[in-house]
Amino acid sequence: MKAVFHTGAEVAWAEQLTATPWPLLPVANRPLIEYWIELALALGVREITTLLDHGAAAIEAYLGDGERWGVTIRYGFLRPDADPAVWLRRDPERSRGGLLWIAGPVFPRRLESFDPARIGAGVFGDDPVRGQLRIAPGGAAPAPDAGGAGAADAWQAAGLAPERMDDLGVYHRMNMALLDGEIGRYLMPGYSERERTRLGFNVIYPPGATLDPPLLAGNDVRFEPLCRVGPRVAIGSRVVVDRQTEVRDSVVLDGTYIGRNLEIVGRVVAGSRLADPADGSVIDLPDPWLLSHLEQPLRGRDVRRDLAGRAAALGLLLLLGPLHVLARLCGAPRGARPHRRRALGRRDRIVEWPEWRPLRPGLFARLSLDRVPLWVRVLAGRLWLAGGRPVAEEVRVERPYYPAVFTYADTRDDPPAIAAAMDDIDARFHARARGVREDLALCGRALWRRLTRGPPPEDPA
Amino acid sequence: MSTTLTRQGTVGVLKAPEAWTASNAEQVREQAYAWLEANADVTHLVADLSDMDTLDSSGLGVMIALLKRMGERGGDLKLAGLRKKPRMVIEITRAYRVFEIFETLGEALDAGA
Repeated sequence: MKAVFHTGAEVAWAEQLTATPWPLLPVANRPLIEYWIELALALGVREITTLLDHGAAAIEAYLGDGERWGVTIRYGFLRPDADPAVWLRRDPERSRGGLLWIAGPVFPRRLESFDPARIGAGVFGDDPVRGQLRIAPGGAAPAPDAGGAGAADAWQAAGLAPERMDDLGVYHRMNMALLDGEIGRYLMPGYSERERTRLGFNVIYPPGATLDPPLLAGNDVRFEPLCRVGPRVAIGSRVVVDRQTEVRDSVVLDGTYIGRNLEIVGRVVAGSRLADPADGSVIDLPDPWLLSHLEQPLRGRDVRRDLAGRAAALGLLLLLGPLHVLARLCGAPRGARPHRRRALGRRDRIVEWPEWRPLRPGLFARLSLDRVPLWVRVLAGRLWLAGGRPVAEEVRVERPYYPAVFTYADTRDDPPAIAAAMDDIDARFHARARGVREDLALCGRALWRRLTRGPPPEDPA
Repeated sequence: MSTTLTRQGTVGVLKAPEAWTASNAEQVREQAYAWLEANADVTHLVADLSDMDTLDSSGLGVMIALLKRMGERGGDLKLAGLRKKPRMVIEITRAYRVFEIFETLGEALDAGA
């Protein structure tokens, strides 16, 4: 039997919560797709094809070639408007001997009676379109929207009750269910188990911290004194829960800092984002004293870029800052009105982006005086000096992201129709080519072009 | 929208800005203090938060400072019209233990603020 995992669905609630692609979203601290792999293994599958779309790079980077699980993983692509059934029928070999097809945010929930030996050919999942978990008999490619009569009963008989995670509430409920005891039905490698408390490597908790089972904590987690964690908490890796804070009935994703003296009850926390599973609402709290995304330490190249960028921003501010103030006092820029938009800055923080529109090619624009407030943000570490164009705050970013004041778009005139595509290409190129010299050169070219040719066409974002 | 302060009898009404954060918290505090100085007979304050969409720890800190100031006058600071986002901040910071919270400004005023 072979398997096909279709990860191409758009899952709005997950995108609102985190930039992590939904197949990699943790359920009880393990990515969802690992449960799919585990089910496939239980059925004797050794070859998996993963169809990619959103989050393709991250998913492929995580799964690799499947060696970690002892399977072979290949990759394919399916356009959003393509019919999966047509794709499946192109290669009959795929379903010879049986095919496990999983699509959408489906959690393959196991019952106490789970027995893969009872999942025989002829069992079909019954979920339409978005969430599917189905087995096809050998030699017949399944039509993904065809439901077999009594399919749900067939799954039940085999001890499987697939859950479609259509909203945040179901996601939260599944985490709590696993914490409540169902977790024993799944493999949990690498954790030490102690009275329904599973802790990963390098978990630090002082004597003054209270950990109440059931509790899952990933690797490199730190609890501070007098904090109370649990019951029913799944904490990802690289998380800090500060002192005198209480967390229970909650899911905390990787890389989160939870501040002091807080009470997090029945929530999903992802960096600076706080979600209420009851109604699916997600708020961004750009307040490092409350919730924050723990930064990955900068690597050498980015440390040098950071220092050089801030130094350059400081130099520009000293040189042109006074001119900016003088110009504003004289009423410049004439005919333009100030606007502020919000964009996603460094470290997932929202940054205010002031600008004037329409910006005429006068001295104010040619000397880049409109950019002075942005150089302050570079100095404050909210933006890079050179990199990619910052995206709107609601947009999920999956590629390497270096939101900056100066971009390659500042060195040329792109028609608005292709600006977004060029932004993406520029950002990927810069992520590879970035360095102090490249950044400073880009900054210099952008400033020179502004001086000699005036500002580029209005930012389509 | 900026902060405004008005009064109804001995009750002051503070209309909170759309965002009450580190960027304007100090300014709101100074404005409120100056108004309270000029209205020394006001013993209770109600914060109308119906337009406020963003609240951070700085804004909350100013609320607590105002609560203390009203306490010195033998009165109180009540909160009214909390929207979803600031409500979640109030919940996670346990500020609901400190403030009396009403659904609407009318309810807060009727409660004999």
